[in-house]
Amino acid sequence: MIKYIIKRLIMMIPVMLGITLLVFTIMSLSPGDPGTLILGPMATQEEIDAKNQELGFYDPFFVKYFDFVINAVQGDLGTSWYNNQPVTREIMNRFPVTFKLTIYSILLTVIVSIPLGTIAALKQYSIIDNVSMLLALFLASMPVFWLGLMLIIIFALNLDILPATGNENWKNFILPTIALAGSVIAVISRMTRVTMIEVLHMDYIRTARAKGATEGRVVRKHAIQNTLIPVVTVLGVNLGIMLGGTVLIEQVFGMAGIGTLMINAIRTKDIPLVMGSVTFLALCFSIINLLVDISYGFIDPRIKTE
Amino acid sequence: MDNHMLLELKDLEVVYQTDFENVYALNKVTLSLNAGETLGLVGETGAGKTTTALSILKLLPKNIGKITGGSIMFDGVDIVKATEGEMRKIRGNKISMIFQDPMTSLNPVIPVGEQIAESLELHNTQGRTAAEIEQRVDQMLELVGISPNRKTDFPHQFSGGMKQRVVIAIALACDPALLIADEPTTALDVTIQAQVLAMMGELKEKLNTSLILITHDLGIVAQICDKVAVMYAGEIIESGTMEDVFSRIENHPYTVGLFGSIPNLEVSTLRLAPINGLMPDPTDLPKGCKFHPRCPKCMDICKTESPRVYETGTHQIMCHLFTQEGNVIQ
Ligand SMILES: Nc1ncnc2c1ncn2[C@@H]1O[C@H](COP(=O)(O)OP(=O)(O)OP(=O)(O)O)[C@@H](O)[C@H]1O
Ligand code: SF4
Ligand SMILES: [Mg+2]
Repeated sequence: MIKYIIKRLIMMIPVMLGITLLVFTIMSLSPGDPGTLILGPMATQEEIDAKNQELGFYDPFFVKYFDFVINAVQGDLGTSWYNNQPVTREIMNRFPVTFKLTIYSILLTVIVSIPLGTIAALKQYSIIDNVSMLLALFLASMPVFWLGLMLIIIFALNLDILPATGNENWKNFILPTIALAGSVIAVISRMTRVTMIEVLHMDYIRTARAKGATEGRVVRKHAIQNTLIPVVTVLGVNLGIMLGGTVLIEQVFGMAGIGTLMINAIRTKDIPLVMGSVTFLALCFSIINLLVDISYGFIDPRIKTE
Repeated sequence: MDNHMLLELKDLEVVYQTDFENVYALNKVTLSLNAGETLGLVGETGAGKTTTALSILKLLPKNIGKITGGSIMFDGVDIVKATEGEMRKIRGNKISMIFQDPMTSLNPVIPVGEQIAESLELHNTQGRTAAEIEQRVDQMLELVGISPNRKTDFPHQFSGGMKQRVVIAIALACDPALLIADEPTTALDVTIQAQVLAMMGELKEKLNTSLILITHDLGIVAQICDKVAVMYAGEIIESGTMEDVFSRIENHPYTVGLFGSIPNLEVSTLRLAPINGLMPDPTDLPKGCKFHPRCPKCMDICKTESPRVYETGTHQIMCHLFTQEGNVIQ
């Protein structure tokens, strides 16, 4: 297992290099320079050139990229062009909001969709099955930001029971969490349902029944874990989508997370901050994937022993 | 040895009701088995062998498979009328089943030792402690020739033959009175097949377990069975002791087809010889004798009237050829 984790960590290196190189290339192709941004419209061209020279803006592309990587490895993502703050500090200030939002959404997804999918599978074609799967279809076909807006209109504006914006206390997180988890809950509960139905038709389930096990025991002891194997894979893919969704959700709910930080940075052409946020999100994504794969090893013994 | 009647099926009828059609899988199946006896249940694919076995455990697929008539008596219990709770006490305890495919019969995410222990835990009438159950698991593994220190391994770490042994260990863990083995050896190669059969024979002797052996292979039946029942299209068309059927004095034309050209008992490697034609469509069974479209001896009466049972001693044949001059019952 340790060997596997180390191998996976090493495999993250080329992935991170690829992502940063791609973003770095795109950012260098876009117009704008730090001198103009920092010194403002009143500065002369000479002053701007001197500032750009000082910041290494005129260095060749690969020198700049190499510098970025070397510094990033040491935890230094550069200095914001806009407010002259270290990018790492900016990100760490914003990280807790994004982190909480993602974790709450993952928890909500797991807590709701796995039991719901299981119940729907056990009571196939019952009212609860039909209603929950119709709801899932509805949720799955709704864009994240639209669901967010609808929740704000209903619960914040009309009913006035939850705040629409901000990230001060736990109440602020309720609507964004639901909005972010919504479509993933839909996907995962449907996935759980079909997989559970399939698993319950397996020969080893019949073996368990032939031993005299109750239906409850058959589901708990024999079906759930086998159902989770494919469900966790799909969940892993969706967690990445969820992380991307935080960018939209933070925007809709006016939350000070990494998503809003990045959007503002793009707006102001603050390239170090854009690079920093993208690199950080990519790192989070890789770590989530690794955690999912490790948990997969615990659920499916066929993987652990390989 | 106690030889009382252990299992009796009378006129059992089972229908699979799917969204599109009704499959008449069992049509008045009658069978009986004494304690300690081995019954070979033979017939082509689709004859209803597995369905018969699942009916005895009342494990027909939910909402689809239904017992529509007849009775199953097991050790004084009316299985057809028994509740789920009563059935759970019987399953894995008094009646065990070895399913057709050992590759898929074991749960891939549970260590094999735990899978053997499960029936012991579920039917712990003797009040075994956890340590005693572990001991019993070790003993069962040894019995089927697997080292007990492999009990923490998962099914994918075993070969096909070893999986089959584990499946047998699970089935025998609670010393069942009746063991139903559904083609326990088809997935195995010939040497292992022989080993597994020999092992089941030994265990049966040791524990006085009754055995229903479902197979396509007449050679296996000749080797280890006391009784034979031949199934065709959901009916038992011939039954009797091994000698009744294999002496080949009188046989149902379908059984004759099964024997093919091989003439006697001495040849032990009998295999199913192909019989011309196919099994009838169980959703639309032919009138009269269900075998008549394929029967080389078919007469006019066969196309309109169902044959009755012709009986001499323990030998029963359901065919017009015999009932015209013979000893008719029913
Ligand atoms: N779940 C099901 N739904 C509908 N029909 C079924 C179902 N299971 C079995 N049948 C039908 O019932 C009939 C008897 O099937 P069964 O499995 O008992 O045959 P079998 O004698 O065990 O055959 P094999 O030798 O191939 O195992 C077949 O016509 C089969 O198609
Ligand atoms: S009853 Fe007629 S058709 Fe059926 S097996 Fe006998 S001879 Fe053949
Ligand atoms: Mg079968």
